[in-house]
Amino acid sequence: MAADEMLNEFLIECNESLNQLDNDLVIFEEDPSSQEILASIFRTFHTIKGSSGFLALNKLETISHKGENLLSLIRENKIAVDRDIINVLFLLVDAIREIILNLSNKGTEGENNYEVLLQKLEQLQASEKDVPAKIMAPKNDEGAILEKVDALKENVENLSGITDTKIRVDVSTLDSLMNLVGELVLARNRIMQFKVSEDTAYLSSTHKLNLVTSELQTVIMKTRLQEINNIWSKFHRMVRDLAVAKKKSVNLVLEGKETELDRTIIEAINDPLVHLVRNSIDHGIETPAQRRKNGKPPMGTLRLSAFHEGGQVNIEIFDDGAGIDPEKIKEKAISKGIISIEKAAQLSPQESINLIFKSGFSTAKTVTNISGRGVGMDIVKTNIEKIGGSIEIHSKPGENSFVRIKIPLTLAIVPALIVSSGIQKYAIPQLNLLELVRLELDDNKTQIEMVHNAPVFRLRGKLLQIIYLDRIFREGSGKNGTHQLNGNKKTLNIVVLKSGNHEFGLVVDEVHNTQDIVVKSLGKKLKNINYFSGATILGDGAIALILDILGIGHNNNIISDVLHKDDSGAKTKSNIQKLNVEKQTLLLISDLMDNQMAIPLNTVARLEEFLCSKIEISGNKAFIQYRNKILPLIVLSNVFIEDELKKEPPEKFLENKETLKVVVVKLKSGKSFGIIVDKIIDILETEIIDKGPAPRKGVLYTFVMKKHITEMIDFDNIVNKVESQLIAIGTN
Amino acid sequence: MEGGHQYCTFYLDKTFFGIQVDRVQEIIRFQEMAIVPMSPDIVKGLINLRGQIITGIDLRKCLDFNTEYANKKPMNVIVKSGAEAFSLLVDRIGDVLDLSEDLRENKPDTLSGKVRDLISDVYKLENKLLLVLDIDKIIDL
Repeated sequence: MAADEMLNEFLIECNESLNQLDNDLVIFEEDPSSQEILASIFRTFHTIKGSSGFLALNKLETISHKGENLLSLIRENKIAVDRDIINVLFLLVDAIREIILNLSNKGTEGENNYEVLLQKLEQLQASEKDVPAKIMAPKNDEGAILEKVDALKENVENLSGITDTKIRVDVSTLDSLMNLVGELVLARNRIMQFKVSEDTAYLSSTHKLNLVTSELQTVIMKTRLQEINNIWSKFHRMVRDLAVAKKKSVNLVLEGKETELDRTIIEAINDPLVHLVRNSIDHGIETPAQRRKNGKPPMGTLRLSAFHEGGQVNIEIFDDGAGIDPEKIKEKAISKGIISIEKAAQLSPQESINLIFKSGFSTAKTVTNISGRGVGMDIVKTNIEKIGGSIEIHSKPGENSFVRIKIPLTLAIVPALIVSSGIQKYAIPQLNLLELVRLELDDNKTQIEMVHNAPVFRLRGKLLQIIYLDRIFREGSGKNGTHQLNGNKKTLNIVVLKSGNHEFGLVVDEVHNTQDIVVKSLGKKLKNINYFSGATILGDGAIALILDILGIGHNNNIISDVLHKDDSGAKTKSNIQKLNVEKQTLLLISDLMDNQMAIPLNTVARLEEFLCSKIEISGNKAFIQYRNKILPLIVLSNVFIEDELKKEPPEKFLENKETLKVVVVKLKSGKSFGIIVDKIIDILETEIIDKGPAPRKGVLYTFVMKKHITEMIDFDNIVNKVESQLIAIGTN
Repeated sequence: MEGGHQYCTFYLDKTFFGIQVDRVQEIIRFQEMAIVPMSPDIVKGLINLRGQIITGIDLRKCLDFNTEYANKKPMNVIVKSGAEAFSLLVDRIGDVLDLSEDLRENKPDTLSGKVRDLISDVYKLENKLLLVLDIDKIIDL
């Protein structure tokens, strides 16, 4: 048992040493003269050799011993460092890693005898004599011995330093600690509810308990955080190997190594990051010759940076390579049948770049073993979205490319909305939440309508598919009595949810509060229900299941393009249409002549109703004192009548009326004016696809909305007119 | 064979069952359960055991007992299977019994249905039989 433990300790230590070795070797390759790095490499080999001898791991001992010998020759300047030697050292590290892996998986050192490697080592050591003594001035022995003693001393100091401040803790211990703290928080909450005593001693001690618990919770949370450097440190070696293999020269810059992330997230982003880094080197950075031709420094830069921003962690991957050519992406997408030629022609460069996130896309002209398997960025995107993150790519063709990943700090605690259906409470991650709609069912307002048997709701003019949480749960489980349909509900709560590109409304019985929940996984008997992504314990100790919005969407056929890849072409098409035609939010009005017109909502400052008695008329124009300013009021139909005399006098509009409805418009220039309207019809979000010609000046185009021809108002034109008329009046 | 013959016992209706005591983590009184819609039949719900969320297994469903006569407030026998803990819902808890090997019999060959797989041994006690359950098989149902 004790031997097992020792072996385990050794394996963990070795793993760390190997990562250290990789990094040291990369630095050493760049600067072979650095005695400090060499000493560090030597020490690591020496430690591995010592421990493996002690644990009777013969192969490991032989290999590390040979390595140590080679290194000591280098230290004594008896052989010169060249590419060969560095490569052999890397191979040595790989061999040690393989043995360690075998030891931890199978408990043996494995079958490989590493004869080739050992021979190579022998050869290199034999080449000792070839080095001309003149170039390598031999050090005297005394110096070498002193240095060794120094190294040993340093070793001892390092060791004692480590034991003083750090200990190894099993992750499961941390997890259970976290559970216990969660439980303590609940117990505290219950105690805080007892306001039995006004005794100051009691109050101050509960207050203290409150503080300590909160602090304890924060500290425990912190223990689970790890520096991103834990995965980044491996990139030195990876980048070096890739660069050598692709005959490129890459300078890896790491910024914000100390940025901390929850360990579960660190694990989850490792693969996507590796993929992106590989992409950068494989497809991004050009060969030195090519770079020179393009007027760039021969060495490419790959920069990884991480930083906290607004409760999230940003990770950026930048390379100054060839960038992404939107045209090439389009060609590729067309040839892969991802989009049609017509659609492709309408895409903006950024939209084209985003095509690489579509499944079945791989930009590598040839499939290499470094990157590009046909699965690519879409997997990266899915993996990042799985942990609640997002990814975007930008590129200046020929100059650089830039990927930004945003991920939450921790998966263990997420903000969520608590809702209930029947007697049971559920948590909906905020990430999926768009808005809450509450419908009063007793009046004549918009209701849930049916498309055959599918309930839908008109949300600002768009049909939103509706899922009743109680119904799906009642039908799906034979467990009666918990989800009775309440027949005469007065109100209906719709939670509008978003998952990927899809939106749907989920009807729940009640909407409670939002709170930060601690996510706990479900047991193996419940893992397969894709309606839930986990469970959490609420403040009162009750359990709430966390709804898996993606799963619910899938099960109700709302989100289908991920599951059914076959129809992805059709889906993509409609997505691209959406990309192409920008959505606009419009205010629909009818003017005094009963024409239906649309005003972009972003220009509308307020909707007002003025008393007619407040409106002042001056020189055939109407004005009102509005917020200490003079607001000109215009009648749309009048603006474009050139002849002043043909215009209807404003008095006419005030006849028989007590109030006037006015849309106060504020333009980008900061100018405001009021448009007199007869009726405000609706506010809706829409895509205008068929544009008709403009029937008169001041109108951009016409389109059909709610069965009526609608005129889109051209504000630039109107402003010019109104202003020139005002000035004209002024000069008259 | 020391600990292997100690059994934690309990009842469903009048039938007497046992589980190897070293598989039992603890026994707790009735807990409010959170119902999990869409879950398999044998899952009754989830309980909160000091911050740990544990799946409650409806033993009556597993063993084809009539669920109508179930104790409305069943006891929880928390058992370990693999790395996970489960709660078996039972009517009443009995003593921990130390049983000698000569009381043990193989299960009768005439035992049929899915229950056959779930019972591993039978012990002859003075006035009744103790049926020993195989927890892992129950949980894998």
